[in-house]
Amino acid sequence: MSAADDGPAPPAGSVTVSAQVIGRTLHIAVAGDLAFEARDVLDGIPGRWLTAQVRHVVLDVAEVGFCDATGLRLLAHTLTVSREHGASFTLRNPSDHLCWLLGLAGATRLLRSVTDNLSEREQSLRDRELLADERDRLLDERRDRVEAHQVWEDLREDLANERERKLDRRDQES
Amino acid sequence: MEPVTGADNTFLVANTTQLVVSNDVATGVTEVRVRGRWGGELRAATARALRACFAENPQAVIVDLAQLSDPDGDSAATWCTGHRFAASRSPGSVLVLCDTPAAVLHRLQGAPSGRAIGLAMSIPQARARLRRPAWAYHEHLDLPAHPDSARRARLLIDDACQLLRLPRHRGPAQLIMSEFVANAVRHAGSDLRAAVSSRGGYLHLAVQDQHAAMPQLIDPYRYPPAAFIERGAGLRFVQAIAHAWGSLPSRAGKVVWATLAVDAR
Repeated sequence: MSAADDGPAPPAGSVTVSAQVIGRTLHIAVAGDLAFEARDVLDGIPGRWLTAQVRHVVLDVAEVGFCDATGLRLLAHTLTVSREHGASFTLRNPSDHLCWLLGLAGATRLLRSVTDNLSEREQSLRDRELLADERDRLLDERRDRVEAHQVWEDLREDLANERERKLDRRDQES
Repeated sequence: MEPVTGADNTFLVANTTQLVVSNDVATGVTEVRVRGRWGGELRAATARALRACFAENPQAVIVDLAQLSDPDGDSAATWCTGHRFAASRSPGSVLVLCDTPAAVLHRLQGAPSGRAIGLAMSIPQARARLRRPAWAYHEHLDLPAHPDSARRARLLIDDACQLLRLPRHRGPAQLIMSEFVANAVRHAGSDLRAAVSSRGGYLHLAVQDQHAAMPQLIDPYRYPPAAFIERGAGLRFVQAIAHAWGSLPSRAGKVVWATLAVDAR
């Protein structure tokens, strides 16, 4: 096999990058191979999308099939730039290959951000459950109050009716 | 530069005035030319070079002794040790001596392992005698000094691992190949050849470029983790994953190789 037989090389990088700012969070999704051939495509991540309002950077690597040292440098760079910007960094959906590579590089701090993120999500879920419980409790209280109010209204109407009847009787007697 | 064996699995060899090594990634044959008077220094350098050459699981190591001055045949012990090392560490690899001085021949005849060493009149004759390597698989790809060559070399590995039914080794093998090609494009900037072969219980990966300078392994203890990721992480990955890896001079530049143990599937 030779390079000449295969014709001209295709454009560098089999990787695509998309970014979106939602609220104060910058979501970056990378698909393809985070590798040497894609270094030009990956250049400028995440700086080109970091605006003053961004406080969280989420790098979703669910669609990353392969990563090498160049790709790892990008992850480390994204973490560093995000923190320098004062934003938190979350690496989302790393593959087994990527986790293995991060472990190999001793760069588990990037994985910790995933773990931290999981903890945050768990905490958030717990908070939501507590809020739902509180809402149910308040609704129950409100229902009790409405029922009590209804009983009171019924009682008052009974008393008013009784008073009406007494007045009618007095009028008839006089 | 001296032939170097760094960490336990790292074998970097550079040419010296007395010891010229040339590896051919396509045939798996390494030629070694030993020049000058045999002595302690040359013995140590030759022993290290032979060890590094056989670590690569070659088809053969052909040693040209035409310019060796060894009137007492003292080098015979080194060739016998080399032969035993090849038999134990690199089954299937052979050591062939060319143009062997008479005194060395005489000493070799007196030792059982010496009699088992292949002999030839010249390197072309030694090459002609070698059979085609019985590797289960061998494929190579000639690539330009372009970043996309890393991706194309990974596809070569993909095919090899699929054919050899080594799905577990696909990721590590692709990582090694990607780092080798990236280094060749980045530092050598020349056309390169990526090769993969199945050699015994090992998957052999090699990249040949046209730059003689050996790869440099960065000491991780000299740099903080962040800087380590910035510099030299690729070869550290190779060192961590590979059974053995190293670099050998070739006719036009060098060959950087690595072996992955694939027996325990």
